[in-house]
Amino acid sequence: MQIHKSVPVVFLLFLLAFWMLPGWAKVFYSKEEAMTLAFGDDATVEMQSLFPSAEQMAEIERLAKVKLESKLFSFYVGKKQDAVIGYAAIESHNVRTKPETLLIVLDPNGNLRQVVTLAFHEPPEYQPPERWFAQLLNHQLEDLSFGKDIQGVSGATLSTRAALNSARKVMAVFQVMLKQPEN
Amino acid sequence: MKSRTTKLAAAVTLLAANAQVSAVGIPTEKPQTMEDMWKIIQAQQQQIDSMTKKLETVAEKKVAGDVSQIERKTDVLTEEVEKLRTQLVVPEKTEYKSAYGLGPAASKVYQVGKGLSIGGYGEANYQARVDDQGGRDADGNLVNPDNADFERLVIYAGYKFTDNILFNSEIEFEHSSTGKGGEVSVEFAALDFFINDMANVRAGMVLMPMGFINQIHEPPFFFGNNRPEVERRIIPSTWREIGAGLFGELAPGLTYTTYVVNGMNADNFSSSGIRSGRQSGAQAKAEDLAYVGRLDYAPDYLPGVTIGGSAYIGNSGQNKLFNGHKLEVTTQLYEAHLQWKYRGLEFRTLGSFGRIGDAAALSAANKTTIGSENYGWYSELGYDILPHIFPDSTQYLAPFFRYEKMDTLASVPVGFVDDLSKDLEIFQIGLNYKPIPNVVIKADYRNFNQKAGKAPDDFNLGVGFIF
Repeated sequence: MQIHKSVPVVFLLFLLAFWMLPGWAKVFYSKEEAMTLAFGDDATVEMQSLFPSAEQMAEIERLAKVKLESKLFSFYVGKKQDAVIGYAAIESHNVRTKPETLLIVLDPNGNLRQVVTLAFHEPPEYQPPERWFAQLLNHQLEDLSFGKDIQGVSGATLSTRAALNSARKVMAVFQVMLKQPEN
Repeated sequence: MKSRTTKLAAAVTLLAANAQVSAVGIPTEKPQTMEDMWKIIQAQQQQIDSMTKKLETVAEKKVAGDVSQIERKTDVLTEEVEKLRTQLVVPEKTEYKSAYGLGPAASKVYQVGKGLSIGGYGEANYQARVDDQGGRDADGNLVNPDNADFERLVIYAGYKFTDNILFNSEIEFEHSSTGKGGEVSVEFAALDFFINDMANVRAGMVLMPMGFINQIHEPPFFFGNNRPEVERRIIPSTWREIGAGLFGELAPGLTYTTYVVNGMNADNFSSSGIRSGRQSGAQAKAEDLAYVGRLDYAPDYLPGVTIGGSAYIGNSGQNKLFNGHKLEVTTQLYEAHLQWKYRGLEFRTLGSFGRIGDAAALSAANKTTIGSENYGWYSELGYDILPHIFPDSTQYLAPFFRYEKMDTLASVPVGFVDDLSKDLEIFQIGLNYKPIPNVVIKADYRNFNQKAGKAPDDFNLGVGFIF
C-alpha cells in the first residue's frame, strides 16, 4: 500500500489551522468566579469559619472516612436577602504529587448540589470529566463510594477517589457542625 | 475568673469614691431627727444606685469590646489562612488571569512552585517458575530460573509553562541496572498545547494510543504483576514513537487521539511479531510515516462503561532494500476494547488484529517466519471484596481472573513454517491488595498453554506504587 508523503503535510496544515483558531482553553477559575458559579451574580458571600472540637473531628472522620488535616474549616456562605442559599467549600488535595482543587457546593440542608474543578495541576489526562461529578449529586453521604452508587472512570482513578473523599469530608463537616437537628 | 476579680475591685474602689463624693451634697452636721437621717439615707442610696449603674455600663462596655475585638481578629486570621490555602492553587480574582497564558495569572500561579511537577511509579516482583524450567543451557544455568527483578522505576517530570502549554515526560529505568541488562529510556516526552476542548495539539515522543496498557500502565491500575501478554506481544506496549497530532473531546463522553508518527522498522520484525520493530525515538528512521487514531466513548447513561477502538497503519520498509527489493511492509493493527466498572466490579476485554504486508519477502530477508496476520484477545474480571468483610475500610482487595489467547503467526506466508509455540493461551488468577490507592501488593499465578512446546507456568509476588 502506497501512503503518499504529502498526507502528513496536509495533516500538519490541519493542525496549524486549529492552532490559529482564536480562544484558548480555560483551565483555571479564580476564587471570585468560583463564588459566582456557586451562588450566582446577585448573592452576597460571607465566610464562616468552623473550629471542630476533638469529638467533632472524630465524628467527621468517622462519617467521611478521611483523616482531617486541619482543625480549621471554612465555608463560604451564599446569601440572598439575608436567607442562606448554600454553602461552598474550596477543597484541595494531591492526586499524585500535584493538587486538584474542587469547588464543592451544598444546599442549605447539606445536600451535595454542585462539584466543579477549579484547578488541576496534574497532567490533564488524569482529570475526571466534569460530567463524572454529576454522578455524585443527590446522594447520601454514606453512598458516596465506589463500592456503592458511584462508578469509577478509567484513567482518573486517583483523582476521582480523591474527589469522592473531598465531597464526603465537606458533607460530614456540615452534618456535624452546622446541620440543625430535625424536629 | 480574672475578669470577675477585676470587676469586684473596680466596684469597691468606686463605692469608696462614692462615699467621699456623697459627702459633697449631704449636710455634714449631725442629723437632728429621724426624718433628717432618712433623707440622708435616701440621698446616699440614690448616689449608690447611680454609681452602680455607671459602673455596670462601663464594665459591660469593656467586656463587649474585648470579645468583639477577639472575634474580629479571629475572623481576619481565618480569612487570611483560607486565602493562603486557596491562593496556592487558584488565583483570588479574575483580573490576575491572562487570556493567552503568558500574563500575570500564570506568573502568580507558577511563582509558588506549581510549574514543575514530579511524580513516578515503580514495580518489583519475585517470580517462581512452576512446572517446567526448560532444562539447562551449555553453561549449566537453568533456562527459566526463578528470579527477582526491580522491573521498572519511572520518574515523571512535567512543567506547566502556562495554563495552555505543558510538557510531560517519563524516564524509565528498567531492570535496575544498565550494567546487568537493564536500560534507561525516555518513555514519553511531549509538549501539549491546549487550544479548545475539541482540538488540542501534542508533539514529541508520544505513547501510541492503543489498548488499555500502552497509555495507562502504572502498577496500581492493572491486575497481576505482569501486563497482559496480548498488550505486549500483539500491541507492543510500551510503544512510543516521535510524532504530532490532535486530541480532545468531540462530544460529551466522546474522546479521540490521533497522531502522525515515524513508521516502524520492519528490519526487526520476527516470528514474535512487530514488537522489535518499535523505534522508540532512538534516531528513528522516518522514511516511512504512520498514522494512529483512537476513539473512546463513555456514555452518560452508563456510568463506569467505556467502549472504544484504535487503528494503526503505516509502512515499515523505511526505504531499505530487502534482498535487493524495496518493500513497503504496510503494517496495520486494529484494536477494540470495553471496560466496565460497577460497584467494586471491574471488567475489561480487548481484541486486537494485525496485518503485515510483504510478509513472504520480509520473512526471506529476515530469515524467520513473519506472520502476515496476527491476533490476540483477553478478558478479565476482578471484584473488590473488602467492603463485604470490613464495611468501613477504605482499603482494596480484589481477586481477579484473566484469560488470554494470541498468535503472532496467525497466518504465515506460503512456503514458510508456522511456529506453533507462538499460538498461546494463558489462564491467570490472582489478588491485588491496595492498603492505600497509590500502593499495591500483588500475587498471581499464570498457566501457559502453547500449541507446541512447553513454557513454564509462573507464580508472581510483587509490589507497585505511584506517587
